[in-house]
Amino acid sequence: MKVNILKEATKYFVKPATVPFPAVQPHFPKKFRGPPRYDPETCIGCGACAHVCPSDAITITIKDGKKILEVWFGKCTFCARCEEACPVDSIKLMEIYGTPSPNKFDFISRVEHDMVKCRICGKYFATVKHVEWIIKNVREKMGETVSISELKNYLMTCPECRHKVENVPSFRKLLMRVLVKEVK
Amino acid sequence: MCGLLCKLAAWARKKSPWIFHLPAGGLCNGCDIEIVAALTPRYDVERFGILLAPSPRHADILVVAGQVTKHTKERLLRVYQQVPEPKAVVAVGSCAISGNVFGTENYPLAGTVDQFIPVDVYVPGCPPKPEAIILGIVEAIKKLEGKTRKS
Repeated sequence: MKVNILKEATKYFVKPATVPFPAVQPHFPKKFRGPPRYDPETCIGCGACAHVCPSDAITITIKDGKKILEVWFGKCTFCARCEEACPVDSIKLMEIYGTPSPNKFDFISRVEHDMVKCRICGKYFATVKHVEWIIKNVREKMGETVSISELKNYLMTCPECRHKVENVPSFRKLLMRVLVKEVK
Repeated sequence: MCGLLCKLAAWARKKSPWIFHLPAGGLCNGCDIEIVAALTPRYDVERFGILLAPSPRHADILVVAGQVTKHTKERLLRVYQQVPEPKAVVAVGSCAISGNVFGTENYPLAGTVDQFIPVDVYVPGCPPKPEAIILGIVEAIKKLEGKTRKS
């Protein structure tokens, strides 16, 4: 009986369980997955995030030589597949909660990229940053085996045209050199 | 017309909005659990005067979670009609906003919530944090005030 009274008395010193929410920021557990956001500086516009998105929350639109990537987290499952797939860690799931809004298209993060024209057929097919990124990576791995002008010549051609002109000696030489280097 | 009485009712509505929680069918119930979590002592929405109403006839704010299926479409419309004017609707979760992974052309689904009833506030998340739901309801109270002035 007395123990019970003592227990009740000690409750006076215990903090209330309620979180004083608007006054303090909410608690986010480790690896919390909030709304995804693009970092427009590091994004290369390869579209890997849109390829893996299970709910099609990430869309790619190509318009007037611009590639626009949009993530609408009103349609997102917060699975973080895009974060896994991104080769440059540009898209990230932030540690915030989505702020409610009367307009459902407020929940959009977008990036715009300039595109490259194919030098044979004149079609837009890749972003400038993507091509630069590939050149940088190949130079890192291959060293001086491949010259930049040669690589640019190859990468500025769209995949369809590349198939058509596979028998062009300059392209074949380049591919052979890269493959031989890899085997060694 | 009713003058003082209407003013009193508007003041009471602003200070203590009653919500009605309606799962609209096509969802995983995660959002429902988060709405219920917002009513627990940890978040304790009753300190803002927000109460869970037992019937839509007593409610001011309708909290809808999930996508509308063909079966729940009629019920949703009926519940919406039962809520007395002025009323506000809060759509909670990705499913209520756009359909999420279930899409919009799935065979048991009729569409998103805003295709059937006017939605005032959208709360994004899958599921949204209870804090976000509380903020959404607070936003809906502001909408209610505007609607009261109009009527």
